Amino acid sequence: MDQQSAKEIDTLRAEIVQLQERVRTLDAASKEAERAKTEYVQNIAHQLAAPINAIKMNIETLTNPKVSLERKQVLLRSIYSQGTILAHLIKNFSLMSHLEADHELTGFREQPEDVDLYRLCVNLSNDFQPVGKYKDQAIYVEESEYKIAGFPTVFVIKNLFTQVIYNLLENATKYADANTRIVIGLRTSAQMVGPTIKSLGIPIPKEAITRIFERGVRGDSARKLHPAGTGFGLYIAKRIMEIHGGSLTVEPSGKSSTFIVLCPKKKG
Amino acid sequence: MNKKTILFADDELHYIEALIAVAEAEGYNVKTCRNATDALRIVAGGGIDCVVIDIMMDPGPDLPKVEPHSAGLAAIDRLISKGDHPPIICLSVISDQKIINALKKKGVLYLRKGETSLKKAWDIIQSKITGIYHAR
Repeated sequence: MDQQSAKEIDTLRAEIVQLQERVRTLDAASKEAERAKTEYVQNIAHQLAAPINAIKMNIETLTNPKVSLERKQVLLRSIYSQGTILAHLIKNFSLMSHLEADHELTGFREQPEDVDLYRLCVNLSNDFQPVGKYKDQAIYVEESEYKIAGFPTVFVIKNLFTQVIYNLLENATKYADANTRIVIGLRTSAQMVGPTIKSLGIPIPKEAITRIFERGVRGDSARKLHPAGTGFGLYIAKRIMEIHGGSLTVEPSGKSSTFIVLCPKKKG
Repeated sequence: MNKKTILFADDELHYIEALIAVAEAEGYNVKTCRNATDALRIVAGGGIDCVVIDIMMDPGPDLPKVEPHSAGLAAIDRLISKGDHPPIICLSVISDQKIINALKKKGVLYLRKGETSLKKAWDIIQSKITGIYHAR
């Protein structure tokens, strides 16, 4: 074998070693992706199974003659609340694919309409009262703030905008401490208007202010408090606000966090 | 006869309120908590006749090295390692047969949320307390 061939063989050998290394890296990455996918699907399954099962069990309890009428009324309200939550949850999953693409408002089947912010917030807070009740959380809408602003309306796709407030209220009831108030206020500026959701619970560190809106990201303490969760809620909410020309931000202050939803004010 | 007490440890109590309603209607005292540490502390305080515990929940301050995905399992192990403990029923959504079999070996009954009907879940909880199972 001449010197030239020996050199070529060495080069090829080195390339093979490199390729083997590359295969190992890719294999590890694919296993990691597979693991993440399994975890994600399990999370979705858990999130869907829990409310459906609660509804089933509540209905079963309604037929139990030993359970008091008052208790049954509570269970009925809870069925309604779980049903609403379930519908929103499913919507979150279906919205994910929609929002991944760079959609504009016109890309959605539903048309934007005038939505009375106060009424929407009151309705949604009522949906969440039974959930908050278990942690003795009360959800308040600061009527006075809406009154001062003349009960503003926003021009949005109602279904999508509802999903934003829903996701924020879901987080608030999930992560706020027991025995606290979740307060829905109003923020206005020259060009923008929208609700704020303030709650007291696990602190959001300053360095996480932007990260928590990223797809699939859940804060360490959020994960600790509630292991199941997709990390989609805030991402979806922010995307929805962006396609409306608005914004979603958070102002943390110690244990208190205020999420600020802003929509452009209607012109004219 | 003194009322028997059941402890429900679940981070999402609103999902099991039907079970709680039935337990109370059947004349039991009900205690609830939302993390594994509280569950252990309440049992340690005594007077608990049955523990119904979820798997995925906040471990709480007494279990700092425990993952939330298995905090309930860690609490169960602690209860068992202490020897004298009330009957334990694990009520969760997981379907991993390895985990379920491991629980069985430890004498912990596993009920799957979404699969076990309320009636069956309640009959089993009651049988763990009274030692009598009424098949219906």
